[in-house]
Amino acid sequence: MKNIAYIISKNLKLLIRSRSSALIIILAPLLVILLLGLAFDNANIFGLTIGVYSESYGPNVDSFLTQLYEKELRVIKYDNQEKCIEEIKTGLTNTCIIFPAELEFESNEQKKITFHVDYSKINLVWMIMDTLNVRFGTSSKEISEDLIGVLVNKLSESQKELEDKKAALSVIRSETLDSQGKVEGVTFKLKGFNFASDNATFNVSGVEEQINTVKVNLTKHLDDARKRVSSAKEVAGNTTGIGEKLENALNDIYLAEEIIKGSTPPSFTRIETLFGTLKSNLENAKLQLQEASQLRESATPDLDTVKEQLDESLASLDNVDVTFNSIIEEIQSIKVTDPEAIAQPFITEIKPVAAQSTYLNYLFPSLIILVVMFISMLLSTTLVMMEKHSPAYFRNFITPTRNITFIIGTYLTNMLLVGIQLGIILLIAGYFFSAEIVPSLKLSVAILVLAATFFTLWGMVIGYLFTSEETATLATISSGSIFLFISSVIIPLESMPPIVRNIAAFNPFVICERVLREVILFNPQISVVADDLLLIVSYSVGLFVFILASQGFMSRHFVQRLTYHRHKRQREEMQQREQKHFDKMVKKVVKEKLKEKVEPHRHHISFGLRIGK
Amino acid sequence: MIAVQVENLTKELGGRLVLNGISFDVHQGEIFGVIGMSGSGKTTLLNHLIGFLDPDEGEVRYHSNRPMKGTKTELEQMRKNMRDVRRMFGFSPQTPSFYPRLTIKENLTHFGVLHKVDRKSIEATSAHLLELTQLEAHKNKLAEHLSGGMQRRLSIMCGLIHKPEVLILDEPTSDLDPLLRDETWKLIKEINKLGTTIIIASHFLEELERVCDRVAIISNGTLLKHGTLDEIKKSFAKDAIEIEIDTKPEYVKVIMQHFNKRNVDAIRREEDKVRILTKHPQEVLFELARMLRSGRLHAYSLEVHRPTLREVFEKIMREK
Repeated sequence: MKNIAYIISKNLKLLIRSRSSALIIILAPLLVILLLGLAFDNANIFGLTIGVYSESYGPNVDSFLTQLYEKELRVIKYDNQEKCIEEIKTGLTNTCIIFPAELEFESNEQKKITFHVDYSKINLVWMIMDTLNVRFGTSSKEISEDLIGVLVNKLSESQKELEDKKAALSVIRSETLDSQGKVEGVTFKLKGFNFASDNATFNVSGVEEQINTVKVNLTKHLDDARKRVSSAKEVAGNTTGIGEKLENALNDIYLAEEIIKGSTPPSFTRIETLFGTLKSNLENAKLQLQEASQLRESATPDLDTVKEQLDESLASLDNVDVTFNSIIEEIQSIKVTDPEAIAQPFITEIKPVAAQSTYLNYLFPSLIILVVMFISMLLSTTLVMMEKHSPAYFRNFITPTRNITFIIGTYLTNMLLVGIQLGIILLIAGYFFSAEIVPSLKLSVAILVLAATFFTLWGMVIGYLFTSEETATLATISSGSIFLFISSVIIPLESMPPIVRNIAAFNPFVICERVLREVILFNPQISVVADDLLLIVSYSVGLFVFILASQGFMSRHFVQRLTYHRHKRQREEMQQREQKHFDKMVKKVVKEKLKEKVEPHRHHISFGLRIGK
Repeated sequence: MIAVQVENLTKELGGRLVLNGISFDVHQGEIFGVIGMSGSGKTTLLNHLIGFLDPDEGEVRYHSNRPMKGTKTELEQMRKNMRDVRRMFGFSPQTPSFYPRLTIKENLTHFGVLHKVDRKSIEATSAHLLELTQLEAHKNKLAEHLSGGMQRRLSIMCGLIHKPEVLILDEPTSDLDPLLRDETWKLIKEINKLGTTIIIASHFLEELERVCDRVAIISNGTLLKHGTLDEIKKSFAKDAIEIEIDTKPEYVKVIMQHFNKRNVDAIRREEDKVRILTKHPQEVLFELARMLRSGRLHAYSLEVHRPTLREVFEKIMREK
């Protein structure tokens, strides 16, 4: 235990004394979570720049744009559609909205607003879709409401009109009924008319005969009277007064004769003429009656037809009335008349099961596990690599201290550092979402410790497996990235192929993140998450056993390689140095010897040389 | 009394026989040198001594004079228990082996703790070692800020903090300038005086000659010679004397031709020097005097001496 404590203190000293690594190890995760927090905090979306293009920027387009301006979005108007789209690629804008030439809804033609987005920026696309869909959804809803309002008003007016016209329809119906009655009356009357006429009935010839008889008789009687009067006059001769009187009677007879025979009126001839006229008229009337009879005969079916038509009209009127009633009833039966309710019958309200202010609340568990994963893995890999590459590693290896002591020392150092960092993060998080974190603090901390344990041991495995610091760091980041990619943090797991989803179910990052989210958001009983926690514990135990089993062999192998290479390098350096030193010494000796020996014996040398020659 | 016993140590690495049946003993309290050319297997041998490598054949035995738990027969068991063995020796590898970002004191404490030494003993031993190595004034300095010589001394101190019976040093003076090398050898001698058995692998033969009681010469993993310096020199030269003639290059050829196998055991040319190894020095010196008198030879100097360890080593290597 004392040894472990000393190893931890030594590790911490080494970390702290390496200022750059201390800064990176301690501050980097905090910086990462700060940056991630800012990145995922959707309270403000002012970072979005929206490019817009329309063939003609009418008032409706401007109204849309005003809404965007109001939401603090940066809007750039383009006069060229290609340029608008092109600038998404260059990153100047995040999206390009193409408005139709006219946004007035005056026909059944739908107006299409096109969003051009860069799907390579997945998160941004979702943010844009989310933000702009809300804005345009609102506008679209308003327009729909207006249009439906018009329709509802028209319907209401139609109902009123129908109700008004229904009275007129009643009048028409009663008038038609009346007409039908009249037609029936006329038909009846017509049928009642007797247009039959014959000579026997009028007995014109009898009348004519009687008139002729009367005339003949009158003429005969008058003639007789005249003759008798004329005879009486002759008898009465000049008898005063009688003759005159007879004369007068004769005149009267003449007059009567004249009346019967004369041509001037009043005369019997006139009666005959009149009678003739009457007769002719009677003939005409008879003819007319015959025609009338014929007409009646022909009119009666027509009248029957009219009657039938009137019946039909009445039936139609009844139908129209029924239809009117039905329409009115139908219109009256429409209970939803509020345009807003028709335009959007379902108000989809997504209610969070936990309090929400930004994405950060939901992302917090993911973020914190992400940070725990990377700091634990990187820190433990760094610690192991730092130890392995330390000149003291070989000496540590040959001390009587057991390997497990070093492993536990490294693990606890890592946990201590991760704990400090988590403490800071939780303190900051507690300040912002204390309501969510505080109730489940104990369980959250337990999960974080388990997560940190697993990822620390994972990082240690990588540290022990790899030889160079670069490859180990690369392996750590790669494995962390794999954990991250096979999770819901970047792309929803549900959108992944089933095989990946099945693999992800065993991804420790996914398990830790899910459990922490459940705990922070719903504060469940420990039994609910016990299975997941046991899985992480078993992973960790497995890793620890693997480290324990392989560390000795791996370290020995590593030190052998390291010492071999160091030894080789040192030998080469030594040989080079010796060669250099030797060359230097030779030069020095030659120089000294020349000075000490050659100079005093110059003569001998020259002599010797001479002799030699 | 034997401190370390090496028996038939054989090791094959990467298909190459790097140690081939090496056997020797290291006596308690002595300074034992292991010499050999680069790649001869010195470091591999030391790695076996410290238990870092396991031999394919043979074994290394440490004999402790400290009171041990159990009987002597349990030494075998102790050999297997490397943790106990590791307390018996200290090791200073060729390269610095301490934490550069810990101070001297922290490094000593760290390795003391790892060797299961209690804090009080660590304090006491550290103070003694700091005094011995004259690093007391620098004890709170980070190791990376120390000079090369100081670092070397720290490395040796780290190997001594648990008071081992045997101190194994691999090239303790490489990378050091001559003055620092002298200081280091002085320190090694002083440590040895305190009763610590020392095994050194080095290629500084002259320096080893000065400090070692016994040496082992290794070549290509094979032990060529081992024993005291005198034993080795005698076995090599058989009382031969070396005559060194410093002359002009053109006379070197004359000497070589004149003494070709005549009363000469070995003759070696070094640019303007000729070394003649002979068991008949009088005859050879007479011949040389004659040549000088007759003017057939001109010489700046003529020295007569016994062969050094280097010469013996070089001879052995050449013969090999």
